Amino acid sequence: MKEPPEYNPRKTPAYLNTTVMAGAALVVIFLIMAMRGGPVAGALAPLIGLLGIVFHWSIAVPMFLLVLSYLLLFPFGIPGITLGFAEVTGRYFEVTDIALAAAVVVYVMSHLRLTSLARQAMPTDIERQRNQPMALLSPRAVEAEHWQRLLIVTGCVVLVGQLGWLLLTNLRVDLLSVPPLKFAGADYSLRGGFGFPISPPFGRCLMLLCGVTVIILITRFGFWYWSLVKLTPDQGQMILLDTQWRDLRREVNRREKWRAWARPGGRYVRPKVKRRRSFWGSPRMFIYIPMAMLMIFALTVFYINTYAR
Amino acid sequence: MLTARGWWLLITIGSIAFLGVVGLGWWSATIPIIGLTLLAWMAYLWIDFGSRVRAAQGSIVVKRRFVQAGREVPAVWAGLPFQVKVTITLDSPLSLPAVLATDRNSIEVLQRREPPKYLHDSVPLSAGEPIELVSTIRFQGAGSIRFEGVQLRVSDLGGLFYWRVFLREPFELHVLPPLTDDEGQRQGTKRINVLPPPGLHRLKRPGGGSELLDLRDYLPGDPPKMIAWKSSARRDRLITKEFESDVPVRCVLFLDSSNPTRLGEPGQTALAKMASIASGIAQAASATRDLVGLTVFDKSQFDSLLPARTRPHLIRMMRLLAKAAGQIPESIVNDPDQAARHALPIAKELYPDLLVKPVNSRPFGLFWVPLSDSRWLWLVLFMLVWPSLVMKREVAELVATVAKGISPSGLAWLGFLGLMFIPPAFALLFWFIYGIRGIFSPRSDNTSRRKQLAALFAFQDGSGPAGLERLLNDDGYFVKRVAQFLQRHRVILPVDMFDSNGQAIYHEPEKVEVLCRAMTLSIGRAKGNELYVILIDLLDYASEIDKLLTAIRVARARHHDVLVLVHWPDDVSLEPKPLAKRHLKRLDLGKAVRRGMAASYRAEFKRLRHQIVKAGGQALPLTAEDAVARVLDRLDRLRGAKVR
Repeated sequence: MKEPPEYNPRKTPAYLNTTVMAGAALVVIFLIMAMRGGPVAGALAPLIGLLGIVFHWSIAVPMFLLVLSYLLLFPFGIPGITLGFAEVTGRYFEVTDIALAAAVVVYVMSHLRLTSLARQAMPTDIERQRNQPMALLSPRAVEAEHWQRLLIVTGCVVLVGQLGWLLLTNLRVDLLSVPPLKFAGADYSLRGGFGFPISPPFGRCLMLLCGVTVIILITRFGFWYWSLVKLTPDQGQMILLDTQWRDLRREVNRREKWRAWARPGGRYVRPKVKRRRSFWGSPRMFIYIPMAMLMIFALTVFYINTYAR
Repeated sequence: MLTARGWWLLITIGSIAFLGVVGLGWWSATIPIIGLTLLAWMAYLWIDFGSRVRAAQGSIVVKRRFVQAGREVPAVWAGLPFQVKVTITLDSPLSLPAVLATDRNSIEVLQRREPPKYLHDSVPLSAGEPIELVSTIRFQGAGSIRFEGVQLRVSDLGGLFYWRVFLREPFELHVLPPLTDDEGQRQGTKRINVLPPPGLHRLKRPGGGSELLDLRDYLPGDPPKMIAWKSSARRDRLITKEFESDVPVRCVLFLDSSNPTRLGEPGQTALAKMASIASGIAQAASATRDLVGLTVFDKSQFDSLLPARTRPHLIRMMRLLAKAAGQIPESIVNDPDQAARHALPIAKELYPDLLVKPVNSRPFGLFWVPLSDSRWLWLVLFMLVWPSLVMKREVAELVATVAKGISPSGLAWLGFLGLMFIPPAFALLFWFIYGIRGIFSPRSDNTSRRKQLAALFAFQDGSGPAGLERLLNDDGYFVKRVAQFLQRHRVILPVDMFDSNGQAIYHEPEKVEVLCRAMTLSIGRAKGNELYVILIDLLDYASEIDKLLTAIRVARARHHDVLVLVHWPDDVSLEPKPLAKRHLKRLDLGKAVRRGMAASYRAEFKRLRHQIVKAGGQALPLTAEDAVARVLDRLDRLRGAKVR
């Protein structure tokens, strides 16, 4: 019987489609970055992304993002040479920003999928399964997701990013007002509530942290409640048992102590193994030597005070 | 839920967003925009994945089927391949993006096969599209396979989020001993005329059979048709014919399932081999309409099936054999920490939902080492009550003298206070240090492991908080429960054959006593001439079979036959092979040891056989090839034929 050919994820349509998508995103990134700082600096981040795709480096995505951020800060790749200062207030819904953000999202998404398809899809979290085979993503899983949904998600997150930046730069923190946010308007002030200055970066930082925290808390609360609704009978029983045990622990523990006293073999006594470690290498040294020194010192003092005067 | 890949990405994106928003935005607004966009994308992925996972909780159904020879079966036959078909269905509107399903069974755990490098089965699971896992298994010997359930590992398409759940569907599949070969498939009709009909055996006692047994003087009341007229005429007095009895023979099989016979690869153990032979004997005997019974015994108990000849009885016997053959050796671990270390990974794999912190907590007080368990308590108590002792005048004077001696002049009061309050302070410090040790490794790890397992066991046993606390405090009870847990889930720990004193750990002479009890019970229930076939691993017990010899003598006294089939190691030949000259020239220590052991086996067996034959039984080495034939020969002899 002829054996089936060995599975090669790189030859599957899903892999090829995703590669094309990632490649297209890198081309867009290259074009935009080249427009900003020239082709050499513009090619650096896409090159890292390309190598990551070819060799399925997991670290390529963080590296790509860091290099891209660096090149956005210093478009020519030379530290200190920037496009200008304080462009912060004037850039909302710029076409290049939208295209770049969308391309970055598409690239990151595609890269992670390619890694899952060809290298590792999920971690091996069980101790016993450390030597188990790596799990790969089936091409079916990628094919099952509709492209329309993917495009809509990308569009939405790009929109959220733009809106987020718009809000962060147009709101200011005023701790004395309720809610503690105000539109900055034309008289954008550096002074916040309570008489201490809240600079715009610090205000933005506060707003970002608070926003993220609120989103996380609300989502976690929702998930927690959902988990409670979906609690299995076993889990419910276990929670009851655990709660009962915590409440009654002291009483039942006392009973077990009495039981252990009554039974000579109640507690397992480990066979004593003669340790070859010398006294000087043992923790006892740290107790015995200071105690001995203390005693010698006390005796000496006692002797001097009593007889040597 | 977030994987390592996810954490790295989140940290990078978070850093870019944070730095962009805080400071870099002055120079380039694109940095914070990209950071915020990616942050929004990750939040979307998190909410999406979390919703799908929670919607799927409790909505996944697993159905398992076993197919052998094209039809669904509740138990399978050994030696023939069978398919395990598992269907996983999701009853939720939200699908799971990538699911890797693994059907966990005891063979995978036990058989150390080379795994494939990659698995590419991480497929989506949605309401309309169930996942079907099909695996083909071929189990050589009798036994049983435990299917624990299905493990689902779910991730998103990018591998950033991960969730694992175990759908418990425990099922014990019996692998019945193989069907008999040509030897066992005997005809159920009478082949030779000298033999009685199948199922009947000649018993040389007066009865209603057809074979003439003896002639005797006529007694009043004898039926006239029994009078031997020719003999009567010859002797000039009435002589009556007596015929032999036609009785059924009950063949009772005794199978040793003690721990030493359970050692080895699944399906390849001594017990599995003996079970296969017992199955062959049972099937062949059933084919000739003999009654067959079975008793499975170990060191503590025995399980019996009374002799019968029906087909359901045969199936029951096969199941009992399969159940016996599937047993694994009891784990012998005395150290509770070591036992917990073995059991927790299995528990985490099979009961992940019952070991997570929200349902199985580890409060801080659990890790505190109580001083009351130690003899140091008395010293600490003494130091604590020391100031009150000083209130006594004599003690106070003594302390004052000492204080005066050790203190500089004029500061004796300071020395006095020090001598009064330093001991209690030291006692409190000692109490704190003694107790806090519990939060450091390895003590904390051991405590944590034990609490998790104790809660799980108390939950399974339904013993409540008292049972949980007992498992935490009673080492012997905990170790026994862990062994039971491992036994149930068919986990074999690395077996040490000998203890630190060089004694065999699995030496169980108690099984002989249990066997004797079972034999005595069978003899008490016996009716005619019966055959007791004992399949036992007895090579190491030649000096401990006095009770067995007594049981054999009792059986012989009741006109029963006893055949002891002693398990013989596969790699040891029955007859010693002479060494070639070239081997004699040089000493090979390994070979010499093996030859020595083989010689000791033969000597032991010789001794055993001598004792058993002297008691009236027969002993044969159980070398799989001809064991069934030998027993059937024996049965035929009981039926009256000299040879088969």
